[in-house]
Amino acid sequence: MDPITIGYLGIAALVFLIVVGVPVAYAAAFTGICGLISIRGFEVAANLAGIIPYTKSAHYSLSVLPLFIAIGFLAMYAGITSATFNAARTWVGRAPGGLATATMLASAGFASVSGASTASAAVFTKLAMPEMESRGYSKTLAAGVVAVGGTLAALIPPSALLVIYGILVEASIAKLLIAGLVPGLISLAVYLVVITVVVMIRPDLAPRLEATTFREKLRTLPSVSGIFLVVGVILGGIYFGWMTPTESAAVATAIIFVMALQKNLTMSGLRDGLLETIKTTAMIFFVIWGVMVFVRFLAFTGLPTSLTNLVVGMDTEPWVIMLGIVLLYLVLGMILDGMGMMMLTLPIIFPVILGLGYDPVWFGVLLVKLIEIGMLTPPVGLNCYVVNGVRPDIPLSKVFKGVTPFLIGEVVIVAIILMFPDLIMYLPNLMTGR
Amino acid sequence: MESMVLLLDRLLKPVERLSAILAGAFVLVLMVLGCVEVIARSVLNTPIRGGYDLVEQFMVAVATLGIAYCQSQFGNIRMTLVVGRAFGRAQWLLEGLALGIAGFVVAVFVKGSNANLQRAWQLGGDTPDIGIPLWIGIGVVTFALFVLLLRIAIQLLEALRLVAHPKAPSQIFSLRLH
Repeated sequence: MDPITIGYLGIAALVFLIVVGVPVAYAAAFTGICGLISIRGFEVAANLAGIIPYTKSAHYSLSVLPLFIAIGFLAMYAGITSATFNAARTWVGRAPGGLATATMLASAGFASVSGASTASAAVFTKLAMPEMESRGYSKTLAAGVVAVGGTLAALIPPSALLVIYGILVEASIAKLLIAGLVPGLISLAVYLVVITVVVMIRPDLAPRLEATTFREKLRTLPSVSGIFLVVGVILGGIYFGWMTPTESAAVATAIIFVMALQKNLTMSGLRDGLLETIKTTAMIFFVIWGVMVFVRFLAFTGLPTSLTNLVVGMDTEPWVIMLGIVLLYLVLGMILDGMGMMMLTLPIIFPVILGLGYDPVWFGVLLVKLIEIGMLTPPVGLNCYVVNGVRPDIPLSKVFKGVTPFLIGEVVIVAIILMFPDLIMYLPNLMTGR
Repeated sequence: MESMVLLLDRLLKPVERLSAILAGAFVLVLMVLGCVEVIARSVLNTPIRGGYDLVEQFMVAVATLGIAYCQSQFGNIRMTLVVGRAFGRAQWLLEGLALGIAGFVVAVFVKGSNANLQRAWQLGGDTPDIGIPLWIGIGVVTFALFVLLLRIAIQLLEALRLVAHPKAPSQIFSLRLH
């Protein structure tokens, strides 16, 4: 059998294994190992696969991941979530849909110290939903807001997904992190517009809150100073070249750690936070190893090169192919976990992207945005499941319904990323030479 | 069989948990190292010698020492559209299939990593800046993979027990079921 056919069979086997419920990491590694055995024999396959866990762990760039994950967990102990929500509520609570807007702004604030979407959705479901309900907000709107707000963490730096993407495709992690900022802020702005429009059409969904004085507003600022400090360290440190992403993550973790200690972080709290950090880190690394074995196998088959030549040689405009890739990810996002989807598809899709002449950093941003959308769409919209998991009294169908108006906003955001790549690449391009 | 599986589970749990806590402690070490590096370079103009090597070797512990703990908590991402709808014997057969595949993968990883460890031990080899022997990091990986293999073996035994007795309760799978 020729290697390219083996490659296609490998992809089919991988899809089958994932569908029947084999964890993504093991499915990818199993397919890769079996493929390598069929091409090079068992000894070579075992040696090639066995070296990967070490080489893909002893990696300086990868050290940014556990630190970013730790920031997210420590931020919860540091009281950042409640502080941002209180501050946002005081500043914008009076506006139409003010509490929903405040929840979205607080989610963005939490996103700037955390890269975990599901954690953000879970936290704000517990924190903001009871307040919205007590003020007469529609449960559907409130559930939609917390589910959508969580996705901001995937794009606004520090983004674990962008770091993993950078590692897989060997793109600049510093540029990727900076590139996530503008589309993250655009997403936030679009979500706020969606809330305002929905509430203006249906004012009964979100009664207005009482006004607060300017003095009251100012009084909330010290409690969120830690967020500004972390954002400054991560973005400023990387953008101006003062620190590597790892160093900026270390300093930001230290800031949040000190804040958590001031908020009476206990030893058991620290232990639990570290265990959760390690659990997430181990999960990510095992997927990386599994996918890397699969990538080795695919490289031996020559399939990615063959596929790239085929697509690039087609008499079709690159934007049409890009549109096809976007649609593919939107469909996959409905049924696959975002991280798994990204890691499994990149070995095949990324050479095509390069062949078509697209910028890897820009594509990383687009891909993470598409993953965010996948976290909201049925049947496997992970953030919606998280909201339903924390609040079982709100049916999943209601959460998906609450998310629907925001999906229209997502179409606008994806269109902006596709049509204005220069806008997305403005900040990273300024970093050239640093 | 149930009591044997539970005994093995009880024996392995402290090892997994301690390894994971150790990995967590190394995250804090990375945090301190990063801060010291920034201060040493920008204030004292003397970067830490071998800082790069140290981060890389600590990362081995951070990335690998928690893998068995993660598996014990069923922390790996998977698609549940099919397995989530399966009940009784069909469910445990699918779990057994997934764990059998996981066991094969990790056994191959252990074999390959052990061969890598033997080479590093016999031929030497160290990090470029401060010469940390590579066998230490590779040994940590091999140990972590071996503990993971034991965890998967316990879960596989439990899944096979449940294939035979689909309605029996299971402490080991309680995390997955709830």
